[in-house]
Amino acid sequence: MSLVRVRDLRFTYGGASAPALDGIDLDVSAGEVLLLEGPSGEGKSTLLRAMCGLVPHFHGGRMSGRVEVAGQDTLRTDPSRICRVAGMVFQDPEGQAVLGAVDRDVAFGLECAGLPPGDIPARVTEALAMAGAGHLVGRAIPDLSGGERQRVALAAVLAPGPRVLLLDEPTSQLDDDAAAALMDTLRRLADHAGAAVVMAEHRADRARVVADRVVAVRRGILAPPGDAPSPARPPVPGPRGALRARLTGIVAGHPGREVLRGIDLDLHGGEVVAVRGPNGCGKSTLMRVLAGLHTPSAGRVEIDGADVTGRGAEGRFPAIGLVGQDPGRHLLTERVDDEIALALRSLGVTARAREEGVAAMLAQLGLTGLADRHPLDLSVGQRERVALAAILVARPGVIALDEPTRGMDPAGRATLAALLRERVAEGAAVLVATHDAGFARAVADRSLDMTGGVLRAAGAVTVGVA
Amino acid sequence: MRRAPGPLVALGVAAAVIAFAGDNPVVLAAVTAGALLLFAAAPHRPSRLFLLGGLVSGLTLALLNPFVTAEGDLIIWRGPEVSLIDLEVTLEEVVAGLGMGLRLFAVAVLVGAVLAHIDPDRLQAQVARVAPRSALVCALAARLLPTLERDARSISEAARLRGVALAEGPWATRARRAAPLALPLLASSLERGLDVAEAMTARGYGAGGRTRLPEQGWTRVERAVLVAGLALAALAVAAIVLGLGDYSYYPTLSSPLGGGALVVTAGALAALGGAAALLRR
Repeated sequence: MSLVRVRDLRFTYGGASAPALDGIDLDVSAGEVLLLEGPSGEGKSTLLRAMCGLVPHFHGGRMSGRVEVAGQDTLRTDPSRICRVAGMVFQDPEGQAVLGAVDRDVAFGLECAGLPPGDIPARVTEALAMAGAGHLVGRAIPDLSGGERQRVALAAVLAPGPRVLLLDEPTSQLDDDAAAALMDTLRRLADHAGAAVVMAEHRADRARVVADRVVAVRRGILAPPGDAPSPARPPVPGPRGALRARLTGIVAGHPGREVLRGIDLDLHGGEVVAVRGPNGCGKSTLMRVLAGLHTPSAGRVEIDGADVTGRGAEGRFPAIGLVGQDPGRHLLTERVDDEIALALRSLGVTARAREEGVAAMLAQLGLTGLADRHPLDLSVGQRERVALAAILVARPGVIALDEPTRGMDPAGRATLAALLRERVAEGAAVLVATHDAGFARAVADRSLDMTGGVLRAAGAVTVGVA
Repeated sequence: MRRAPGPLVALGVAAAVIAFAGDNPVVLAAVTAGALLLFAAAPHRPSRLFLLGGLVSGLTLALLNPFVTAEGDLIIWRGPEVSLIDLEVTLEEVVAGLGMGLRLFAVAVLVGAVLAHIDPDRLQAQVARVAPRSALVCALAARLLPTLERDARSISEAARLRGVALAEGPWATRARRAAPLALPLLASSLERGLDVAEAMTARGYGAGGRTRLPEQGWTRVERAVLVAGLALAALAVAAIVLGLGDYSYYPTLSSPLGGGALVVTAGALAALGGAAALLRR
């Protein structure tokens, strides 16, 4: 039985010159898990939003064609009613929590649906259990990890009992274990509750294992999916260059909690070092200490032979460039090219050289054509690439990247891997904190595991799925 | 864990009434000490703004009082004659100013402590019974404020990583460099607001006929805090009616350690300190 029927769907956002969806025909059956693949910014999120009525009701724009969800025409039905049959989990779980406590937030949708108050607590408990978040009752949402928030977001959507579940990049903030558990939950919902699950996901290695069907959305139309990702080849290590950065005996943390307990790390030019470990193990703190955004309570940081422990981030520029987590949210200017030029301005580069540098970065990261766009008009993946370009354009000798592939499509990941290898060939040292095992395999010369605030060699990098 | 608002509000209001009921510096010191204990027992670190704001405004008040009051017998400094400003400073004016400053500080710490203990969702649910939309707006604002703070920090870090020296140079220079970052912060907060609005729409907000999750009953600790609050309220009424711990700084200072003052002091410390100990468990 088809729960979702999309017929000749065309949609153009207000002010856009090209359609985001350009003639989509699609059916999704009860009990089916459908995986949407495709490049960033080419229609996956828009299609998901069309299936729950947010497109066009919330976003505006011009729509033609027809979308039916469990027999309801989304164009003629208010999204606040469609949500009872089609629930949407957005990419950023932080953005979708309305209230501060887990059970209250999960109850919000039930309250809005007018459920009798006496029935709400049981439904909340049931939804949390289905999402594997039963142990989180009573917790404050800001205190939860990314994976826990994602589960609460899923529970909030499951509570009203939708027959169609729509998920936009649900594993982008999760480590491998949390992602695998989420995928198991989705498969179970399809098998046991008969839900139709549609998810957009760049990490095919995580999602294809539970998908019944895979389709790609490219330039607003459905297309056959690409082949399953082939195993990534470890890079051929080049000659190790000069010592670019050295961390000695670094102890750092937050009030009442020590996160790094005596880190020693050397980064040489010509090498990419991957740091892996579960959410909250201290990878981000390590990056911040290296970049001068977090002052260690003990230890020494040297870059290019100079002791920079007492210097802040601006004092270490341009020797080190850090791209932190979720950088697309924190872009500073109103045009993509201005954003990339900002670091060059700080360096006093002439206007002509700036233009050339910006054009080269745009081309290298596949952003040509977006130079005059406002960064907030771009997709998440495109924004992340702009943030990367804005740091890499200053050609730092030490490059630190914290979860750089989050929300990035496979082509973007491959481009980034190639760019990093190019930079290390020129003598830069790269430190990457990532959950993305495939990316780490494709780019890293050596891998380190972070556990208990200490770094340990992870041994030889094994071949796997990119 | 965060608590039901009722008992904490009762305790905080009763302590504030005691702070405003009289001028006795010993009583004010006891309320301040109790407020600090409550502050320290909060499950999440309360905003330092309350401590800092209370301290700055309290000290300002203490500093200004000798120059806007013309009372007291013991002159400790006499300046030139200036119209409108009293440049004759007495010891009594200084001590009275410190007392007023202490009261302001105590109330600021009390507000910070009570807010840090209260479960904002339960507060919102109670306010929502009379003003649902306003309550939701307040709850969303409370939820998004820490996010805004985090975004502001991340945006300034993004600028520093690209060589913008926000943490160096004189204050005015830093402010001038930081000013352009207000725009991306505004854009980011608008985007987050849109995200929440979209999520609310997707979760059925506005469909009409909204019901409410039944309120949880009060725990034993919350009931005990309510008892402490009610006892403190009774003490406050007694202090006002019977003049327990009345004190005047003028015309000359006298010992504040009367029997009534000691009763109110002990009561305030016991209620606030006891509540803090219970809440810390």
